[in-house]
Amino acid sequence: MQTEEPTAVESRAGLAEAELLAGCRAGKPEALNELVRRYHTAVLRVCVSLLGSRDVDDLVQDIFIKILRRLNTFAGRSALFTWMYEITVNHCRDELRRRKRKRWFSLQSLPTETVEGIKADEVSASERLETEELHAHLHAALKRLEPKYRELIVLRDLEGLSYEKIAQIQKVDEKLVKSRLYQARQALAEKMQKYAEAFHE
Amino acid sequence: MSEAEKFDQHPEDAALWQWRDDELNKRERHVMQSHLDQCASCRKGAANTERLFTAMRKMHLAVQPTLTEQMRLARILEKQFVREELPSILVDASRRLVRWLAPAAAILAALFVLLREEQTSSTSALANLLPETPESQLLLADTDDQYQQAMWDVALSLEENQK
Repeated sequence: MQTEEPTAVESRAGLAEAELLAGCRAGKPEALNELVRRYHTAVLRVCVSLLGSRDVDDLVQDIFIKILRRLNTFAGRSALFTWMYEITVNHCRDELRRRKRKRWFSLQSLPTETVEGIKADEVSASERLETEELHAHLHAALKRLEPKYRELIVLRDLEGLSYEKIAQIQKVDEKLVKSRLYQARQALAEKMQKYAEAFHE
Repeated sequence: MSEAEKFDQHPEDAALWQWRDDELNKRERHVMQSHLDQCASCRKGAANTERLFTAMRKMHLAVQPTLTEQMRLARILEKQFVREELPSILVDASRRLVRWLAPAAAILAALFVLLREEQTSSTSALANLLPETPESQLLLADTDDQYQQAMWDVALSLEENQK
């Protein structure tokens, strides 16, 4: 499996983690800019894949604000990026719960035709180009997974984190991460099976 | 079970995932590879899965913040978290002020203590001079309670005198 270890990303950067932390804690502009430059992409990607939407700018902003506000509580027991992933994943969980509540209320108030209209839009997406079609199906399949499974697919298969780091982020045992990841992949593969067969024949 | 039989059996899904993650030992990997070489159905399944996950990872990695988005985020964070440092001229002035204020405060505190002691000693000197009567207690009262008590004592002594 091709993975991009975040440690490699960190080592490429100029500022050492301790310097970056001290600078951010002291409110130095260059340290804040470095934090954004180094972690914006990872935080954005995780949010997009976990929420299934590109409209996450405000969420990403809230996550960075939360990270900076909590920086004094960061004890350095894990790497900074693992701690940031943890905050990102937890924030996305809260957002998903909020959206679920909001969607439930909005669906209660929508007339039936509108709900059916949404379904019709989803069907028309399948008439797009092949790559877009695959992406749409993947997004939909990922979105239909249970959040705990989706997190695992995103962190392991998309972000390429180790089992150990995922266990730290989710605060569970490494063995549980492995067994859940297997279930998550099986569930995703099942959702994509029919499409995969048709797509590659 | 012979090696030949193992090659003939379809592997379990869990083993296929372990093979994909390169988590099988050397012997298990050999068995799996031999089976995949022979079994077109498993080979096709594994290839489909690999294509899907590759596509998904490609889709994930294609998500990039634009330069504008990065700049906007950095500006928002700077606005909230950058602590403006005071100009050095102000810092020097405040240090000078503290240097002058500290001795002045110490002198004021010493004067206050001295005056208080003097006031206490003058009150006690007066007490020695005055006779021990309710009226003199009225003069020596420091607090409202003492004053009120002295007033009562004066009133009672007047009443007794009248009797």
